[in-house]
Amino acid sequence: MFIVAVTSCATGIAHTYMAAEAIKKICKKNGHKAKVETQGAMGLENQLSAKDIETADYIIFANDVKVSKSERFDAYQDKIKQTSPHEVIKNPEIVLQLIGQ
Amino acid sequence: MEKVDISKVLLPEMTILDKETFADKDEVFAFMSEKFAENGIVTDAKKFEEALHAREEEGPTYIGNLLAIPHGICDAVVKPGVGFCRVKTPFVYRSHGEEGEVKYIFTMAVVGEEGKMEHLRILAALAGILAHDEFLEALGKVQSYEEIIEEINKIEQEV
Repeated sequence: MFIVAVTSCATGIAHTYMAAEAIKKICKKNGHKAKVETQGAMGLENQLSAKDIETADYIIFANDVKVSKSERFDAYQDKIKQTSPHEVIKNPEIVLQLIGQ
Repeated sequence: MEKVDISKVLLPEMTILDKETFADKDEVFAFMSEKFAENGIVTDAKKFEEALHAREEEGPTYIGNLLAIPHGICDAVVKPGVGFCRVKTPFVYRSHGEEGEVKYIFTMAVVGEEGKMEHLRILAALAGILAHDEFLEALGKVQSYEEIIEEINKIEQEV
């Protein structure tokens, strides 16, 4: 599967990037392709393109603060799965549960 | 993950191995804030300590796996830095309604201004490395600052 995700957190430095890494790691381990956009202290990085969002099987939001440029996802509400960066870091398997595996 | 030089923010003088354990999180915050001040990363230990506590109001910095990552952002931070402390025996770390035993504490000092992006990137990269269980396992065994940097480099090569 192709998973895209957006991570963000309050300070925008620790959880955002830990969660991004945790998502990439668990996806890789389970044979899924993943692209993770970080919305942290350095702004939007590794930004998801319209094509990424359209072709993704699932969109995971692991955010504590509002997702920036969220209109990009408006047409794909049915693919969005919501969690928090803290949850993803503590229990990366939640990603698999969210995508029904 | 972009390769960055974590030794620029995780300094040898801020790496404390096998310290006598803490009674609680408050003691850690006070201890690390002093260390940050001694090493010129923050200008005011008290102010930084308050920033660490303020961050706790936003959500837990207890991660599980014996790890906690308290961090503070405030104008007393001169340059971004990381302090690592490994205690001899675990203590209970309570954070925003969660708690668990902690042995490894990475404390991060964050400045938000422009021009410090390079260092922010390094903090972000270090955060990414902390998501790797292999690294946490290695943290229990390392005997020196150099060995920690070595383990970080190993993880960076993998990803």
